[in-house]
Amino acid sequence: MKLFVKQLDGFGETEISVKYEILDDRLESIISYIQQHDFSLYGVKDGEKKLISLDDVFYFDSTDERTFIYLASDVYECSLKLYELEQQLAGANFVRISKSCIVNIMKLDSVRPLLNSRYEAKLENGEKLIISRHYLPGFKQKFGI
Amino acid sequence: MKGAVSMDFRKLISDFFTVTCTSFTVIILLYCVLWGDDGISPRRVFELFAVCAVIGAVVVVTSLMPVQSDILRMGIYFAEVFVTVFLFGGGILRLFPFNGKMLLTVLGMTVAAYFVVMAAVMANEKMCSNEINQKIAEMKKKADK
Repeated sequence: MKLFVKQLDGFGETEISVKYEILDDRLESIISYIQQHDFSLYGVKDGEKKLISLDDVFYFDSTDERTFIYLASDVYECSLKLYELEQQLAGANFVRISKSCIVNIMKLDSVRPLLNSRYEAKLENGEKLIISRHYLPGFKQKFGI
Repeated sequence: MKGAVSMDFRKLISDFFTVTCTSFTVIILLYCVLWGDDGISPRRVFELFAVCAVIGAVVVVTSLMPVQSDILRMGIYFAEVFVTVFLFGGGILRLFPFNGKMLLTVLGMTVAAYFVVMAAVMANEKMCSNEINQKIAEMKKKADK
């Protein structure tokens, strides 16, 4: 794979173009990584709007038709619906784990099985989330299982 | 989504066979230990399999019920196993007479089979969660590089 990086004065918006013959797993993951970084996520806390990097997001949670962005120790409200986030982040390191939650798999510490084919996911910050039975196949698929 | 649904269905089928086959194995082994000297007829083997298959089907269908409490979930499984054994096995198939000693023996066999099946299901899930945890560790190692 050849990588060309060029700095051009007065070029305008940065452009990334990928030329390939076969779209393999490695290339797909590079493309989804770029798409993930192209996606701007804004969170609101105490009336202040802030651009949030997806790398800092632990999980998204939806309560009473409001979506919240959970970081290591901060919570921001997001204007997007959970299903919109799910669509935008398909192919990225995020996966739906329940009706109300999308988790960043890079922030997972471990998982353990519970009764009735549910799992408990422990995050790097110590928080625990439930992976429901319905979303477990998709979660496992994210890990190639 | 379609993939997740079909995987969900595959999981149900896999759970059905895990419950049916494990409980059948335990029941046949216990039956041979208790009454093996008197011999076991092919008809009896099929009847015992039918009871195990009905339990497998009932457990899989009720596992779809949205029950959050693990204790309540265990209680439901317990109840449906006992109802199936005594109503279907004892009442319809007449596998055992309803007298004190026999009821106690059947109860003991059912409890033993129940816990072995639970252990088998949990062992399955534990293996899967270990695999996921291994992948999480690999992902983090790769990200740290």
